[in-house]
Amino acid sequence: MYGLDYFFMQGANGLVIGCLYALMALGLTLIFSVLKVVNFAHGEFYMIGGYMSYFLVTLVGGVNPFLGVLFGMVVLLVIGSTFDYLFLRPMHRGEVDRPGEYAILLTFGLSFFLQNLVLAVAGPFPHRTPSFMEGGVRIGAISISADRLIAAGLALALMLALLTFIKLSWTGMAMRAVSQDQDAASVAGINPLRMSNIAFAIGAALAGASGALIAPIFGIVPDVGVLPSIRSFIIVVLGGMGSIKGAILGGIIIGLVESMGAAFIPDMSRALAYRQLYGLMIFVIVLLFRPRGLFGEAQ
Amino acid sequence: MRRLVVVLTVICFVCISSTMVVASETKEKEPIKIGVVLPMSPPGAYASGNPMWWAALQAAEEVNEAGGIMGREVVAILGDTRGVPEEARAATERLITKDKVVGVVGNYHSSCALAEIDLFKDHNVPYIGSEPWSDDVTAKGYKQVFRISITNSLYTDITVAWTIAAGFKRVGVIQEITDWGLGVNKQLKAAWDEAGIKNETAFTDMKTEDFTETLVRFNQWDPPADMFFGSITGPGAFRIIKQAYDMGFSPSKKTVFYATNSCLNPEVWEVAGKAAQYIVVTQIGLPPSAYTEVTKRENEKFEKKYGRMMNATVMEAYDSFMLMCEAIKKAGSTDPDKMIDALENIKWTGMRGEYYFPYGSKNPVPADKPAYMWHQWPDVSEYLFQYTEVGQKPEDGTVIWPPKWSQLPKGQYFVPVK
Amino acid sequence: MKHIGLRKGILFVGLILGGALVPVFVESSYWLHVFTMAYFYGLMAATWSFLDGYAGQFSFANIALLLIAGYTSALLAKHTGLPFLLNLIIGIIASGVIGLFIGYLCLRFKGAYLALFTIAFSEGIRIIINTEHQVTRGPAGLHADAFFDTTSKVPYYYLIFIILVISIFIMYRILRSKWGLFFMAIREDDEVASALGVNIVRYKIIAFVVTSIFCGVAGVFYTHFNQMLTPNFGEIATMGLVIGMAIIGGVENLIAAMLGGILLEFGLESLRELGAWRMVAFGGLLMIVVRFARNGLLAPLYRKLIGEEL
Repeated sequence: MYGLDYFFMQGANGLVIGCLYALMALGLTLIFSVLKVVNFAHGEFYMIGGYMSYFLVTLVGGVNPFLGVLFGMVVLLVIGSTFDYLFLRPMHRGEVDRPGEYAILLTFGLSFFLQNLVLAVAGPFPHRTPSFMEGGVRIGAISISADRLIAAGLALALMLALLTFIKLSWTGMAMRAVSQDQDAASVAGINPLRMSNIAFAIGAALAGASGALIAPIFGIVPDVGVLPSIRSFIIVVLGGMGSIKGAILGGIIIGLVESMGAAFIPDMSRALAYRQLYGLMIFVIVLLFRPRGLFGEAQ
Repeated sequence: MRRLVVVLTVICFVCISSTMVVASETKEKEPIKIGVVLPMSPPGAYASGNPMWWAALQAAEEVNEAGGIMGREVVAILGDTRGVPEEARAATERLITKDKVVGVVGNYHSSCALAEIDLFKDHNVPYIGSEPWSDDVTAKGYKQVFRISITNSLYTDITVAWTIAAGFKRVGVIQEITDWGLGVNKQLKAAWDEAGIKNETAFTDMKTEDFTETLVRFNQWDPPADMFFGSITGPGAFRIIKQAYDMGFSPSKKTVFYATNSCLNPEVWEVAGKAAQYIVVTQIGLPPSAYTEVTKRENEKFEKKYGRMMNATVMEAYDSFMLMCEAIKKAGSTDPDKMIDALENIKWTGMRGEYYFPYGSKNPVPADKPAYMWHQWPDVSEYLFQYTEVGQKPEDGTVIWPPKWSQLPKGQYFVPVK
Repeated sequence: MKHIGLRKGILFVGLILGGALVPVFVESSYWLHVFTMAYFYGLMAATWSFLDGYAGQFSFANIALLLIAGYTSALLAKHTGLPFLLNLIIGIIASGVIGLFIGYLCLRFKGAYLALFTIAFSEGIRIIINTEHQVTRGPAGLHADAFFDTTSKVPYYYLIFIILVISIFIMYRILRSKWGLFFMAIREDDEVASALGVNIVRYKIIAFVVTSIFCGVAGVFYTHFNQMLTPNFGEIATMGLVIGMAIIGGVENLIAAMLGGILLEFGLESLRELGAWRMVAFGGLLMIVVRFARNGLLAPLYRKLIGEEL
């Protein structure tokens, strides 16, 4: 029963979903890398990405679902940039005693705010954006829905685009400079406040993209971002905070771990229920034995 | 500048709070207040709770349009349980001691109902359970507690009878860990075991997004499962249908999909789409063929206002609220003991049939009947129907069980997937 | 100095006297219930202030520790014949032990890593309690016996009031002692503190253990007051509420944090009609306070009245 076919079938699903996890985690790691901030509202950015896509495609109507994803990203760019400008500036300017805690509290408050705002405005009912494409694909024993494949493909494309941007563009290099040494970067003429703002906005947009891409698959609901938020922390710690490679690899690993756990743990009464716990256990083990993760810098 | 912002914020906050406090304290003493306890926000089943609240409001509105009760206005007061028993207790406390309601209706979650009934007993407040299924709610035999919904045992009996008649031999279940779910699962498992039907349950957290791996496991069964019960409520209910269908597992020619009553909501089509075309759903209540005048009238009104039809749980909310009003009318008073007496003797036709409570203080439950029949409406009907077209309303689905209402030819117990 | 001592004395005596007299003036069972829950949240906010405001350890684990104490006590009552009081004590000790364990594991973590680790721990506990429903009854809730055999809220009010006063007093004394100084040194810069001779291992762990014990106390109170406990209570959102209360009150001031908890709980209760918008306002308030009034809203008031930090 648990033959090789079965392994590939389950693994394929984990791999595909892992790409989407990776996209979201990439946003988180970018924000951490440049701003040194762990964004506790990341799950809500993901959620809003889904809602914005839904708004454009279904409520306004007649719009291509792909544009919905773009719209979600744009909205999150604005939200991210605005939030950073209004609330995180004092931290960037060095005016805060304990910047780490400051950021946690602010982003946590933001998460409360956004989740309940969407609940109050949009109501509690679950929704779903229309599929990118109906049907599925069958390769041997593996069968995956078209939506998942397209979403994963786009996620990979976006990640590639980001990597290129970071490595090749001037802004990307400037962000890297700020992430390595803020003071040195500003001496060199780079405005760290501006770079932080851009990084936060992009990070938020990546989470939003992930949410908008997954919306046709899992649907949307105001608290849809709670689980992905924690999962993103796990991935980023596993991959190494601030490491882009780490986020991508970590996302795929966690996708596979959740998948394999649910697929292979013999006790049916627990295998699925503990799905989140597998990731959490890895998280704890990494934190205890190798806190810098796979690719992070030694502390 | 900073300080000003802070001071202004604090002042605003304090002003708003105190205004609300004062406002709520100086409410008129005249109206008759009836409490409605429902899950209106997460982690409760808010997608069910919200329409139930609208139904209660509709009932209150109608009563007032007809002149109120004993010349007084009727006001429905909401208590959001959030689906959490501690919150439910707190909400009920508030309704009883602060808002001074004369009666309470509602509940969707059994765990909340069970946490509240002690309060109804201690404060002698009549309660009509709209939708909590746990046997214990009435089995405890509290004088104040009545119920018009089905019980876990009745539900299990009917469901199991169907699976046996349909000839299912291998059943797979993905069961969410909630108060209702665990109770029902235990009873279903026991009944299926006794009937020799192979069954296996995978438990899951309500928030799970992806059931794919576990569905694949069930899909591996050889010989295949002939029925799959996606026992999930809330957003997961639609997801699991889509995921099971997309992989070719269920609904399919070989495996019938049995869904929870979350799938009575129109969102099922938006989220699951074609996947939900052949799912089997339970409705607690009368099939359209047996609708009363009241059913039709109220349903139309609701649909006009809210854009969706009333499903069974929503009708129960309407009926329980009206029933409480009827009890007050009949008793001619808001005295709890008189109301309880009125309820024990009441006969009133609502959306789901004629209500009465055969077993009460004057006619205790005999030893050969289950304890939950205390203050329980005995004619709760349940029927199973199957959607046959995408976008269908529940009323237009094909009734497949029980035989007396079934629209299928004799000997057929479900509509096969084409 | 004398002035400060006098002012503090007046404040404390005033609060205690006021609190003791509340049931005399407030008859409504509902409002007494609100007071009781407000004191409960005040205690939880104070424990968070103790651990983060003074010792600098940003932990999300407080609610999980509360759950552990509550479930231990209730499960013992269900499965063993041990006396009620003993169950409570064992529950509190269980919390303390787990707190010790977490404290030890967290020695090497700072800031965000500590927060993340404690979130993982908290979620893990919640998931396990939920999934092992055979034992814990999961979301259906585990029943616990009441403290008192009465429907009146008055005994509960006094119970939590006494618990609150004693707990705050103990925490206050600890913070004013040598230990408190060590905590604050660790908060500021634990490497420097270590270089100056502070045994940071010992004091970090002590901070965690003391906090867990009081979370355990709050936990057994909550469980036996509500006569029920569900794993849902241990969600991150609840912890967020407690943290918000401590921050808005003033996290570096024990009394301010406690009052923050009490007043915000009242505020949230009175704004029930607003539904989900309450939490929107709460989140917004938290953000505004952190951004513009980092010391909280009540701490500066305290400082003005009394003339010194706590």
